Amino acid sequence: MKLRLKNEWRLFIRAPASVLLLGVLAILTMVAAGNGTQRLLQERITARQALAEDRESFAAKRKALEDLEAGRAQEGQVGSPRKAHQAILSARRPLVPNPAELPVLSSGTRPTPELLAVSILTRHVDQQPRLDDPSNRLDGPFDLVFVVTWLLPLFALVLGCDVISGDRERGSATLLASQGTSLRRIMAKRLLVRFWSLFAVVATGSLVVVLISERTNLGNALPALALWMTGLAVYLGFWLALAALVNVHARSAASAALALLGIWIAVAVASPALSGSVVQALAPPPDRLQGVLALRDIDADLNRRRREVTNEYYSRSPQNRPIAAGDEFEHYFVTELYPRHLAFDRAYAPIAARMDEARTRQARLMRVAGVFSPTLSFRLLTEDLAGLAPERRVTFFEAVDSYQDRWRDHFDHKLASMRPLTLSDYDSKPDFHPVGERALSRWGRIALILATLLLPGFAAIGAALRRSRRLAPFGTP
Amino acid sequence: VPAIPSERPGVIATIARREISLQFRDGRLRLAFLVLIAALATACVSGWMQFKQAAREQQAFEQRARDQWLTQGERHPHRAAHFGSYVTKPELSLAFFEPGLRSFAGQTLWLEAHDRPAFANVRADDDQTLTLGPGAASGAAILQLLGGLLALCTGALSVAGDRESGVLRQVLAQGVGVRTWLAGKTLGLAGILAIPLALAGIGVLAGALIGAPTWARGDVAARASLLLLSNALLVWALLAAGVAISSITNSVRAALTAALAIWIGGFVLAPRATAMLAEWIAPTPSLADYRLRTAKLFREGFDARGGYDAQLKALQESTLRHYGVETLAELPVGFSGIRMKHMDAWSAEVDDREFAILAQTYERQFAIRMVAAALAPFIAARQITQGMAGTDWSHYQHFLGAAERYRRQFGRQMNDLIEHRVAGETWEMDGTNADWATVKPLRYSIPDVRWALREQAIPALILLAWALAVAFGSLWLASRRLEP
Repeated sequence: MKLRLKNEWRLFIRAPASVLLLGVLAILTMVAAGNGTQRLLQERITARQALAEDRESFAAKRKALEDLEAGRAQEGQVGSPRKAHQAILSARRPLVPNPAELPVLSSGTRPTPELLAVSILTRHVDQQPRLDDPSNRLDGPFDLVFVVTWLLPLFALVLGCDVISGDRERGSATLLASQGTSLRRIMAKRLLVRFWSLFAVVATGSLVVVLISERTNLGNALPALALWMTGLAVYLGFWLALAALVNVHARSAASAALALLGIWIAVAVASPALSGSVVQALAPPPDRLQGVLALRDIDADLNRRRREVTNEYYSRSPQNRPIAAGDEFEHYFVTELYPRHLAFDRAYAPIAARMDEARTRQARLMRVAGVFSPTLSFRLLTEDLAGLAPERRVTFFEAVDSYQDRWRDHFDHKLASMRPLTLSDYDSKPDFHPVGERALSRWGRIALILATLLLPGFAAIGAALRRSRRLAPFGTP
Repeated sequence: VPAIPSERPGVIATIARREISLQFRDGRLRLAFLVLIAALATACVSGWMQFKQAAREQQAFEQRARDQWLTQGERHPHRAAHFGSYVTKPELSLAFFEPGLRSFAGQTLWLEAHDRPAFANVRADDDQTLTLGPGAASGAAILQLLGGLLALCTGALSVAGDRESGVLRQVLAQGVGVRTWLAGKTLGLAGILAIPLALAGIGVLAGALIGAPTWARGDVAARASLLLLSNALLVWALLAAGVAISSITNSVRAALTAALAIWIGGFVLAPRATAMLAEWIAPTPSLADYRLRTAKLFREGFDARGGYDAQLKALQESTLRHYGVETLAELPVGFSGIRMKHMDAWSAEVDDREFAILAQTYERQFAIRMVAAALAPFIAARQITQGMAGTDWSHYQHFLGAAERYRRQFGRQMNDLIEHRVAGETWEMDGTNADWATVKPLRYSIPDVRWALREQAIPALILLAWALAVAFGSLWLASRRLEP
C-alpha cells in the first residue's frame, strides 16, 4: 500500500503538468496571502497611529491645562483645554474592535470597521465615501478567500479529471486492472496523492502568513487555523470525490473534464448565486436609501424643533444650565447642537438596530443555504474566521454605543454647563476596551457552517466510495 | 448532407451548413445551449425586475430627499448647505442587462458644503457581506462567462475531435484545402453560436426599448446594438481561438485542457489580477489622504499664490476698500457670506487641481486594464458592455462632474443669502423654506451613444483586433500546422 502510494506520488510529481499546476497554485496562494497581509498590516499601522495620536492629543491638552493652572500659560480664544466645547466636543476617539482570528484570509470589504472615530456628537451622520474606481472592486479582491473557494476546486478538477478516464482513453485501463490491484484502489491512491499535494500547498502558504501576521495572537489564531484547515480538507475532499464519481463513468479525460467543469459552474457559481437571490428575497438587505431618508427626517425634524429640544434637555438636567451666555458660536454648539445630537441618537437607535438585525438575519439564512453549495459554506467559514460576519459588527457597535454613553456621561455636565474642565476630568476619562463575541454564539455559528460543509462533503465522499465499487476498465454509461 | 461544390465560397458555405447540421445532432451541445439560454433568461428577467424596482425606489428617494430639502425649516444657510441635498444617477434601461458598477458605487451622491461629493456614500457593497463572486447573476456576465466558455470549448473540440475520429483525413482526402475546410467549419460553428446570441439580442433590445422613454429609444437601440456587437466579437474571438488551439494540439484532451486554462486565466483570474495590479501600480489615495492634501494646499497655497489666511487678509482689505469703510463691522453686507464665497471658490480651485491628479490615476488604472485586455479580451468586452449600458466609471464620472457643478452653484446661492441678509461680521441668521425653494433641482442628461463610443474606443479597438487577429491567425496556423 505504502509502496503503491509512493509510486503514484513519483508518477504524479514527474508529470510536468502537475508540477506546473502546483507551482501556479503556490504562486497564487502566496500573492493572495501577501495581499491579505499587506491589508492587515496597513490596518494595524493606521490603528496604531490613530491610537498614538489620540494619546498624544489628550496628553498635550492635559499638559496645557496644567500649565494654565500653574500660571505658566495664558488661555487663548481657541483650543482652550479648559473649555469642554473646544477640547472635547470635536475630539474623536479612535476605537478598534477585538481582532478577528484569521483576518489575513480576506482583503475584501469588511462590514466591521477596523477603526472607528467616535466623539461626543452622533456617529451616525459620518459618511465614508471612497475615491477609488469601483471597476477595481468589481470582481472582488485577490485574496485567499478567492483562491481557496474558487480556484482550488478548479485545480483539483484539472488534476483529478483523468485519474482513471485518462487510462481508458489511452487504452491502458485494462492492463492496469490486471496488475493485481483493483482500479478502485488505484484511483483512491491517485486522488489521495492529489489531495495531499493541493492541501500541502494551500495549508503551508496559509500557515506561513498566519505565523507571520499573528505572531502576537497565536493563541487565538492557531486553533482557528486548525478549524479552517479541517474545513479546507473537507472542501478539497468534496471536489476530489466528485472527480472520482465522474471518473467512474467517463470514457475519456475530455468528457470527464467537461462534466466536472459543468459541476463546478453549478456548485461554485450557480448555486451560491441562486442561494443569494433566494436569501435576498426572503431576508432583504437593509435598505440604505430608506436609512438615509430616515436619518435626514430626524435631522430636519430636530432642526425645526431645536428650541424645544434644547429646553427639553435643560429641563431634564437643570444642573447643566450654562453658567455663562457665551458668544453666538458657543450658544449654537453647546446649547443647540449638543442636545440635538443626543436626541438624534435616541431617535436613530431603533433604525440602526433594525439595519443590523436585517444584516444578521440575512447572514443566518445564507449559512443555512450553504448546505446546497460547499463553496458557499467554505466561503462563509473563511469569511467568518477573517472577521467578516455581521455579528462581529453588532458586537463592536454595541460596545461603541456603550462607550459613547460613558464618554458623554463623563463630560456632559461640564460641556453643557460650560463649566471649566479640571485635571481630574482628563485623568478619569473613560477608555475603550473592545469586547469579543460570546464564545457560545461565536463557535456555535462556526459549528453550523462546518456542519453545512461536512454534510455535502461526506455525502460526496460516501457516494464516491460506493460508486467506485463499479469502477470498470471501460467505464459505465 | 449536400455534396461539396468545386468553387471555394460554395465549398465554405457547404462545409458550414454541414457543420451546423452535425452540431445540431450533438446532444451535449443542445444541453449546453439550453442551460445557457435558461440562465440568460433567468438573469434577464431578474435583472429587469431589479432595474424596475431600483428605478422606482430611486425616483421616490429623489422626490423625498428634495421634499426634505424644501421643508427643512428655518436654518442658517451654511448649515442648510451642510444638511445638503441628495442627487441620484439616472440609469439607462440597458442597466437591466449589465448593472456594471451600480452595486459598488451606489446611485446617490450627497452634496454638501466644502467637499466634492464621492460615490459610495451609500455603499451597496458594504451590505453585501456575502459577496457571490464575479458577475453574480447579470445577463451580460452570463453571456460573457458561459457563452465564452461554450465558444472556447466548441472550438477546441472541433478540429481535434475530427482528427481523433478520422473525419479530418477523409475530408482532406476529397481535395478540400485545409484553410477552406477550416473556414467553413469555423463559420458553421459561429452560425450555431449565433443562436443564443441572437436570442439574447432580441431579449436585450426588447427590454431596453420597453424600459426607455420614447425620446431616448434611438440612442438606447444604438447602444444595445453596439453592446451586442461587442459580445458577438468576444464570442467569435474565443471560438476562433478554440479552433486555433484545436488545430495545433495533438488530442481532444490537450485542446480542451488548453481551452479551460485560457478560460480560467482570462475570465476568472485575469480580471482580479488586473484590478490588483492597477491598484498596486497606480494606487488611489484614500479619501482621508486626499482631504489632507487639499487641506494643506488650501492652507498653504500653490503656484506662488498664498494660502487661505493670506487671501482672507487681502479679501478683508479689498472689501473694506470696495465699501469705503474702516472696519468689517461697518460693512452694509455680511462679510461672513463674502468670506464663505471666497473660501468655497478657493476650495474649488484647490480641489480641481487635486482632482485632475486623481483623474490621472484613474486613467493610468484604465490603461493598465487595457494592457491586460490585450491578453484577456473579456476585460475589453465587459468594459464596452458597461460603457454602452451607461454603468461604467466614465458615466459615473460624467454624472459626478455635473453634480459637483450643481453643488458649487447651490453653495454660492447659500453664501449669497448670508451676504445679503446680515451686515458686518454677524454670522447667525436663518434662511426659510422660501429660500430653499430658490435652489432648483439638478437636471442631468445621460450622454449620448457617440460620447459613450468615444469613451470606449480603446477597448473596442482591442476587441476588434482580437477578433480579426485570432480569426486570421487560426487560419494561418492551421494551414501551416494542421495534419490529419
